Amino acid sequence: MKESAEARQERDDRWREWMLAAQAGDAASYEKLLHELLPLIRRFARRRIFDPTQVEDIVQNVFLSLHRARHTYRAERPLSPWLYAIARNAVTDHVRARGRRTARETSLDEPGVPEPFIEAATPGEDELSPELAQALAGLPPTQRQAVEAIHVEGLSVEEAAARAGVTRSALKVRAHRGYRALREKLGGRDLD
Amino acid sequence: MTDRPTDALLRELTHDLEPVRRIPSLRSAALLALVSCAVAAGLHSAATDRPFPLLAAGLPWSEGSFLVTLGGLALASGGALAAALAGAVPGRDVASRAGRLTAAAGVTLAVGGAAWWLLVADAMETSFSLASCVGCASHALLLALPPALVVGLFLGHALARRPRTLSAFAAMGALALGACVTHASCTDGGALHVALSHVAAPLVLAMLLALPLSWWVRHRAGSATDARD
Repeated sequence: MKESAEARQERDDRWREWMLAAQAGDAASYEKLLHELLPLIRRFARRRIFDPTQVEDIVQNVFLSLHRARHTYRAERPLSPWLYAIARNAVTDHVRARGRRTARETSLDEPGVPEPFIEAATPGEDELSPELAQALAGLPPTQRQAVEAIHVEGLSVEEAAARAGVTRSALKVRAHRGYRALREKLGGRDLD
Repeated sequence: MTDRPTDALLRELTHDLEPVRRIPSLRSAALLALVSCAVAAGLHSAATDRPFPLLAAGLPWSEGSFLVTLGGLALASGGALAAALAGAVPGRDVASRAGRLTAAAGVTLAVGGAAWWLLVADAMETSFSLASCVGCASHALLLALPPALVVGLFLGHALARRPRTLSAFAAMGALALGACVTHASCTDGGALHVALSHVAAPLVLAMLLALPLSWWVRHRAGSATDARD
């Protein structure tokens, strides 16, 4: 059933309050806002991307972008146009990046393509394959450092964040983005 | 397809949430840019013998070409600055598009006004002075730096998605503003002088200013991301 104008206004007011609280550091309000936005963003992504396997990637990109840009929302403006602009940009970026990657990618289903990790001469120790090392080298420095610290060196999130001089939250965002970029470069193989 | 549940991502984003410093409103940022230029113009007038803008005796207010050039530079400035500021904030597409159109109209008017001035000018004009040209172009650049700085700070703080494009608009808007103030304080009525130093030179200087401004905006955005996260 289509939402009435009143219900929409009430919803926008609620979201505005939660966003303002989130900007002030209120995690509970932020969590409520994100969970209420989740089905909306999923519907938005499904309407624009034909491949259902990519929808969750876009949804996560939208939330990452929203998180980074949360300081750009101002209370005198409604939240919906701001939110949908971020979602549209995420879809556009995804489609463009996908187009660029498709031109460069080799399917890992082809025979003879090596595993990301290879066994070293000493049992129990794994080395990075040249392909993974090359993919890591292609990441932005902050993402590469986060992935290397957690997935290669085996540091905890706290240790890696302390070494990088950032918060745990910041390190998790960097690692998540780096991990996803690696998976895209290597064609979706599990790197764990 | 991702192997990380979205719910897990949302939990991570809300965990350790830190307060953020909101960006100023577009209106405040634009006003600050204008005021910074006005202050620079006032200080320059006080320190030199250049008349204060709009108050100089001998400005050709009755000349249509003068007014069209002045109006064109003002429109180009307002439009380009609006395009830069609005383009950095998600959801301000209408304002950004309006700014771009206004800037384009302003540049057309400014160039048209200068061309008109050249057409009606005395063919035997002998008052052209290269030193005076350089003086006015430098004055425009000097007045452009404070508003360029203000808008650059805004773009960096806003983590603008297209820093190069928006920096180009910021540079153009700042130089057009500087050129507009210069035009309103220059009593050299030579058509060639106006065309070169009040219109052509600022357009070229805007392209040059866009490069370091873009680098600085991207550098600030990178630092702001690290600090915020």
